[in-house]
Amino acid sequence: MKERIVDAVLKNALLLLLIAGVLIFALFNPGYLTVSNMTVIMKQASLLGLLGIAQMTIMLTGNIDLSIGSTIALSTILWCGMIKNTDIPSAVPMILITLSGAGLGCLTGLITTKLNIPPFITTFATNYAYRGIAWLLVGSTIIYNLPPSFRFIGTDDFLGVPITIWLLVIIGAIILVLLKKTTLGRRMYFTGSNRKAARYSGIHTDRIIITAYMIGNAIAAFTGVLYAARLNAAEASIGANFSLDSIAVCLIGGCAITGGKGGVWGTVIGAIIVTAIKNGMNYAQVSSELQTLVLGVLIVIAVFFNQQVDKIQRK
Amino acid sequence: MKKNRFHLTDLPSAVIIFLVVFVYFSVSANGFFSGYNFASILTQSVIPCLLVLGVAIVIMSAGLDLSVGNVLTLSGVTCGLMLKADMPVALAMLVGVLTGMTCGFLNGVMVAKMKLPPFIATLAMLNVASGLANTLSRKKPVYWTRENFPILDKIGTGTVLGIPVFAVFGVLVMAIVIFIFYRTRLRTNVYTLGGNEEVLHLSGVSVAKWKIIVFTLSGTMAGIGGVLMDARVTCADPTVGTGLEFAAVVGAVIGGNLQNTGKGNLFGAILGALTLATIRNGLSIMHMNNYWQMVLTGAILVVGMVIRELSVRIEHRRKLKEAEVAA
Repeated sequence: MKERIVDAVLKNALLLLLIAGVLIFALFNPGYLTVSNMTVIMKQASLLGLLGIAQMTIMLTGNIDLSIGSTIALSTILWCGMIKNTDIPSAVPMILITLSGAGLGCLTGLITTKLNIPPFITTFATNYAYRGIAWLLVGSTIIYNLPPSFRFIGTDDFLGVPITIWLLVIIGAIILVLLKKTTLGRRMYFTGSNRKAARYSGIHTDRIIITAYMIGNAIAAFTGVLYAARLNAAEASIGANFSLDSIAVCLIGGCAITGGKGGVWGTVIGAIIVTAIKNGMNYAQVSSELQTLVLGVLIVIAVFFNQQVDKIQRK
Repeated sequence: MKKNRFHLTDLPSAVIIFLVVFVYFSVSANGFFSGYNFASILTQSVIPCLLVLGVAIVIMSAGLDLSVGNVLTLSGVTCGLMLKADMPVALAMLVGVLTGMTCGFLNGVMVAKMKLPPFIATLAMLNVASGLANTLSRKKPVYWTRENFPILDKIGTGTVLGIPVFAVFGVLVMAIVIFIFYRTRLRTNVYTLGGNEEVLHLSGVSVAKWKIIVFTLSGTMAGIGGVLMDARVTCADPTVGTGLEFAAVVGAVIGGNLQNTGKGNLFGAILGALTLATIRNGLSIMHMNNYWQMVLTGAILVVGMVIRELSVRIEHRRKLKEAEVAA
């Protein structure tokens, strides 16, 4: 019986942590635990959650992508250019941008796997290159006043729930099924936990990793468009922190940086935890610099905690 | 046993990239090939070179240090605040260096004792150091009364025999680190850490202790860099170190230092840092704007990696052939 309780607590440790955090913030700020504030948190968390899922698909295979923020910058700018200069049905640019994200991811994946470069170096370099191209295209001008027929996706509600939350649920479900129910998903986990063994058992690990980069960057590009639609503006410097934020979300959500561990649930809860804490700190008027510091400490605590949980569960 | 012959492919990719960009800029960038410009490249790369030494040693030991840029900022800010309060120069500089050392030590403890992956530990330290530096400085450059510290001005802007004093300081520190690395147990232990940690453990050496030493060294270099930066720009800017970790890590890697290889060399790392400084200098002489510089730096790095991969493959083929001949 006792073991069962311990097991249940460990399995839902993340959720308990989230509830504890929310209660603490609510204790000090009466305005925190209200329906309207929770809606704000969920709205923000939905985009961060999508970013986290994008990073997670890559991290599962034992890789990392520091260029996600730049992919987002480049694709949102392309998107804005498309919708400003032509009148095409709103779905077309959306699909094209998602594909271009996949293309950028494919390039990153090819460089990492075929040239045997450690992924953090490749994506350091592509981070520079992609954002540089975005700068070259628009310079420091800010594109704003996007047509409302394209913006609805980031701002409107459907059945009383913001569309971005619906999208998080839909994309999350697709990735969940992909990871748990398809061969590709199992191969991604396998590649991440032991690349050599995966290769010797006949899996084209390079192909799996490139696919992961493509899926991840496609989701990232899509999320970038949602951001731009919500902000009603886009610029080349958009999303400079997105790469690190998405990595933090994954790590807090239980992904291992060495690969092979993590899932959609954990990542989404990780995103909600990060947003809830940031929102709570805003309520408590903590400066943004101190928030950066707290995020750093949070990463260490979360990863250390996850490791300890793993150790106990293995016993 | 046959003595190892020297092969062209043993050279780190920084050598090739450096030669190519150097020749290219000499030919096509007007004003690049001059003693004055070379001096300015060297002065600009003193602090990146300090950082790259620390980072290269960390990478050789199978670690990674992403925090050096922001640790440099934090050290600069603590040193600057001491100066603002009119503390003695020596004390302020010591505090700056100790700040860096402490950050490095904490990185080491997180990696060696808490068993966190180095990427995560130093990523967290990057956030913490940047948060602290911005909080302490209230997001504004810290100024001090320059007249009270003539020695600091001398270090930052003075010259000895035409050479900037701060560059002499930097080179001195580099020489000490290189001497320690090549003349003590540090090198063997770092190589073994990188090659196979278990071997080090089995030979009775404390793995945790040496990991902490390596990270502390890297943090210390960032601390020294921060203090020198203060002397040079005569204020402590809380954004000064952002992006320096990029130059340090990439410089170390194109200089032939990779994780888990059990080898590496510091001169390659310094050349790596010089290469990046040369690229930046040459592109700005050619009036490329910042955006092109970003794209081209990224592209040049990828090309450098392609060269390295090709040379490894050629080497591999050559070894196979030699083995065939021997058989």
